[in-house]
Amino acid sequence: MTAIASPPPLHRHPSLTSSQDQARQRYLSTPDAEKYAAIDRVLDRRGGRTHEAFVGGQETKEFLRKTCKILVIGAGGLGCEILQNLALMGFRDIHVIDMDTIDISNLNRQFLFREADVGKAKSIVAAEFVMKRVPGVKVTPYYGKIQDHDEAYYKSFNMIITGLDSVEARRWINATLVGMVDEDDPESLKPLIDGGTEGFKGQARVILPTMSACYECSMDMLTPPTVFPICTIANTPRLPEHCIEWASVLEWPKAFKDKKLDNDDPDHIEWLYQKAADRAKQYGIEGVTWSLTQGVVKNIIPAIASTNAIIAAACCNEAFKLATTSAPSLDNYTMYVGNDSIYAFTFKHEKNPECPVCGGETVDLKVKKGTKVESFIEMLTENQRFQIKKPSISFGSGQPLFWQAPPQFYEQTKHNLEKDLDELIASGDEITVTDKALPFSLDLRIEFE
Amino acid sequence: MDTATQIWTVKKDEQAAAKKKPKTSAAQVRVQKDLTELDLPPTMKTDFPDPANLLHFKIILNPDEGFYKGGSFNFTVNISPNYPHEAPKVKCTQKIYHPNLDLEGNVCLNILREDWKPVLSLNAVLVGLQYLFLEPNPDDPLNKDAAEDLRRNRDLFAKNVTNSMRGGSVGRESFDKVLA
Amino acid sequence: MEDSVTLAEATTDIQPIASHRPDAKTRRYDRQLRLWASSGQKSLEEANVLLVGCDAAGCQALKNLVLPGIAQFTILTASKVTAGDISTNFFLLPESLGGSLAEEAVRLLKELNPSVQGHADPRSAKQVLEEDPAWFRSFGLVIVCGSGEDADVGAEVTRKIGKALWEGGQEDTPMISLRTSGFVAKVRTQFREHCVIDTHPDHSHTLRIDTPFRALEDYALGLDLESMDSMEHSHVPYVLLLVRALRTFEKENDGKRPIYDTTDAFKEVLARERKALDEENFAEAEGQVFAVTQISEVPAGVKSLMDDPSCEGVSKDSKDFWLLVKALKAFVAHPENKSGLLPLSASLPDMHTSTASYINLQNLYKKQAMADATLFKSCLKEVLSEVGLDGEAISEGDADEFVKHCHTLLCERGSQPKEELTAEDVADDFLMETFDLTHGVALNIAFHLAEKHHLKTGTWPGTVEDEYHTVKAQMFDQAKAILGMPELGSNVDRDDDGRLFIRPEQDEDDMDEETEEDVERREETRKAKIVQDSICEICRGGMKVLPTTAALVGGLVAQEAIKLITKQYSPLNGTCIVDLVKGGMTRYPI
Repeated sequence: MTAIASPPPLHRHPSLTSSQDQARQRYLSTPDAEKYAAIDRVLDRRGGRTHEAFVGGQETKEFLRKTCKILVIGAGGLGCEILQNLALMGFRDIHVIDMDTIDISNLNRQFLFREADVGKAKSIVAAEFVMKRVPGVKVTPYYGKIQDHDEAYYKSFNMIITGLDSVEARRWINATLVGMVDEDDPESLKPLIDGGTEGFKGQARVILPTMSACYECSMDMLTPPTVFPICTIANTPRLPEHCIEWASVLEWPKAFKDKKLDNDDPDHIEWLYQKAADRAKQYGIEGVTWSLTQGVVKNIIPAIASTNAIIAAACCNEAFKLATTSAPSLDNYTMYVGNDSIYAFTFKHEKNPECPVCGGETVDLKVKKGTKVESFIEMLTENQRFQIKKPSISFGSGQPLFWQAPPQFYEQTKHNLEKDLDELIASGDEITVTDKALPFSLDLRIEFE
Repeated sequence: MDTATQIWTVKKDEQAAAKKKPKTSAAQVRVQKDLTELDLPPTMKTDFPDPANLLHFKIILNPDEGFYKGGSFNFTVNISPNYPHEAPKVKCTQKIYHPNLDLEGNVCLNILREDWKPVLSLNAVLVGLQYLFLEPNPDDPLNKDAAEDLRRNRDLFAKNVTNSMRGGSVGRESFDKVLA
Repeated sequence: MEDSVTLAEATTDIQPIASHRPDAKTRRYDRQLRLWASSGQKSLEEANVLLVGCDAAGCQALKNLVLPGIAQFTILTASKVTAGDISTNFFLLPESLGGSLAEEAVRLLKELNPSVQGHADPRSAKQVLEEDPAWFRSFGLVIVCGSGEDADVGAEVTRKIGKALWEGGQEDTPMISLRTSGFVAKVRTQFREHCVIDTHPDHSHTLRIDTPFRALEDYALGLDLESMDSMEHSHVPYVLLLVRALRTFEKENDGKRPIYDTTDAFKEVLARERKALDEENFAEAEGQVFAVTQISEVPAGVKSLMDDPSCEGVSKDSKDFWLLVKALKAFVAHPENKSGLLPLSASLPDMHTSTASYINLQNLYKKQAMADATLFKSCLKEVLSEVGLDGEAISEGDADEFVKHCHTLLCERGSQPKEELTAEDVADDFLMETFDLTHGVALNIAFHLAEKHHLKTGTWPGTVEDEYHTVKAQMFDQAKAILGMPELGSNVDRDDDGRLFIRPEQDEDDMDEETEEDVERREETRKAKIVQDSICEICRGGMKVLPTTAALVGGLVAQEAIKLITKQYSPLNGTCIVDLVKGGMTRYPI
């Protein structure tokens, strides 16, 4: 039996006794077949529901343990669990991005961090910890934002797992991955596995960009953020939350003109708490506490280790199945509720044809060279296929080419009506058409003839 | 066989890949749609200080009837990258006398806060603003004094509005001159 | 920045900080305190948990309990660390190889939270069961590992510990047992009785608009809507609008109250007092009309608790829960409680109204709630004295807490696992399963058969390569016997390796010509396939523990443990099957 991993350097760990060191060396030279017996069972044997494409055996193991490169976005509650699971499942080339540093309130669930790590970068501490604990795995941290990287970076991975608490970041990575898909290049499709938790509840999903429903398709499933009417906050507070919002939304900007409220600064929270508590007292409202103030201002979502464990494991299980085809992958959404016994619900989220990211279609259109933009627009309105009346046209970049509204843009772009379309764009370029009659927008790829 | 190929083998039979390729963010695409479909009444204008940035712009409202006829009101509109999941943020840049605006320019309009829904558009926001200047709501006020004036004595309120728009004072507060 | 506090500040209370600012411990546990509050945290911090056997799933469960801060845990196993343990268990190191499994895992688990005590007990569970089965009852919760990884715990040990705990009587120690095999797993909870006061329902307001208490009614009817200005009028709380409309409706309809069928007529009465269409309080009232047409009553769940023999026959040895339920029953029947309902809850949802009228209304509810609570407490004192207990045996605070949650009380009664599964236990669920195309019941049967195989042979299915296919075939026959499935149809064969093999159905396009017999055969084939696939999956995994499956099960076990320890939320009662092939979970009472 040959070990797949190249044996690690056989130097003695300084803090180990000699018998511990011997044990360590013995473990490191144990063949993979023995170490990975549990995982190999499902890679060597076929299950009743395993897809025909399953190869299994050495080839699959080599891909998993040598070739597959996986990106984890977020090294927080879910991220810590994800990194642990991937490393133990045999993924050896793992990258992790996180822009946050460790806070003491992370320690009740982000188990790769200790008190001494408070203030350090999550991605770096997490990567070091996992490498120390699981020999042979390489975890490459990046301390920064996902937006710092370009398509080429994301193209270098086989798949991406996200454990994020931000809608914005999820939308960004989702749109980026959908945008990267090139139908002529199967390698350009990067599966996105996304997890999220709140208290005892959570969800996990698999997104195959352009093939299955994407994150944006299901934006309407999100609970809208809680906001109170400004007049309630200002004049008729009834709940402690109203007093806290009054302090943060109305009073803070008044008191500190140019200083932005920092949710993580305890002095800022203190100020808001005092203000809110005074107001509550004045109105006879009970329940303003420091903890509630912080919760409302930071929009804190309760989080526990066990729920993160469940959701992260579900995500990593999907990553493993995608990498090995040892079992069919989740199609495509599972919801978990743990506060009232155990309840899980798996369903297929359908693609939204009106999705601004993956919906709509790109239509190839042939246009004669020398066609004026004005007559091009006329062509569009006369085309029975599109059924549009008053289209506006934007460049692929989103900048206006010809906009009907608002007037400023109309004035700014109307001179383009007189121009030839081929003066403005090159053959093969894409333009976006928006019109009230369109569910969302229409992309046209223009070929000049 | 590598992963990508495996995935495609498994999944290809399900559905052919579509071809959509967004180059801009989802919020951006949505704002683009909202803007090109804006139905501006003659009383409203938009101003994009940086035409390349569609997420920050100004609205100028010149009511042609009602208490605020003759005034010219400026608002900033800030759209977050989470649009339309989050409502656009609208603020008046002038200090004005209005039951539903406070002295800092905050606007109390339900669709800007608690009643915002992603199906609403920028057009709905503009319609709401216009309505607020046509029919100020004195029953859920932000400026309690102005609201009380309106409830008690419409004529006095109208006088106060006119006075404030000239840059005069109402009670102890002085207001910005906003005459067009 | 909170992030940049010094280590001293972050970890100790030495630095003087403003009194209302949370201390280091509160900050550490902030995200969980928002779920189970300090009362739940207190229970956790007193909890003593035993893990029998030690594998990846068990250690993951402990990790998720050490992090939120249980008092202490013990790992009981005589096993030594193998290479397979290290590669699947995050809480072992290469240098742990050959060492005591219990000691190595305890050491690394303890690192997760300095305030948690961990103990390694290197005895074998079998030995302890023989020498001192009552020892297991000295813990607050027992978790029994169930992969084949730790040879120290098998099917027999799990059964015996279950029995030992069950025999502890009403005050039994709850047990969570688990089994994992590759992509599939099973979690089972066992307890005789688990009573929950705070189940954390989604809503907890009981406005009782349909049967308003006196003060509420007087206040509502005393309002002079006519003389109000537009602002005041549009800010009358909807609760009061509904109470007024209710009385008017009754007056006009010979004392008949509005019901579902007369909703429209009631809305018409309500609308009469409306001054302008855009009055939000009236819009709210209209949206809450069901609060008038639905009649308040004692919730069925609470009623059944009050009729439970444990309530009827309370004695001084009863749990506080039952004494409190008995007092609740006395409260409901008490002549001073004219409503005949449960104590009113003091909480009020937000509504469109002014601060002053909201606070007014809130005070009305608070006052009535307090009066109800006082009456309840006097009922409690009587109950306590009747059974010969001191009037202070249950603290005022506990009584208040009970009253607060008395609309959503819960009592779950558990069971011991069945030694033999019969068609009666599984047939109905299995029938459902064939429609839903899930594999939960079949997997549960397969786990049961795997345990029986282990009891008989001492090995788990799928572990002995030579027997791989024959064991699968045996289990399939046994499963068919349990389900009462007919002999294999002519479409089911065994291949040369003894593997079951279901031939694809013929003439699928030819639906028109399908006879009843064909339909039946197709159904039987489908069922056989589900059963076969499930057995296949369990044998495939060979009772080995996949790290992802272990992590998921560890999360589930910890959630259940937290619910059982804190006595908050509703726990799993019975079995949960985890199927990570499909990505689902199903639960069964058996």
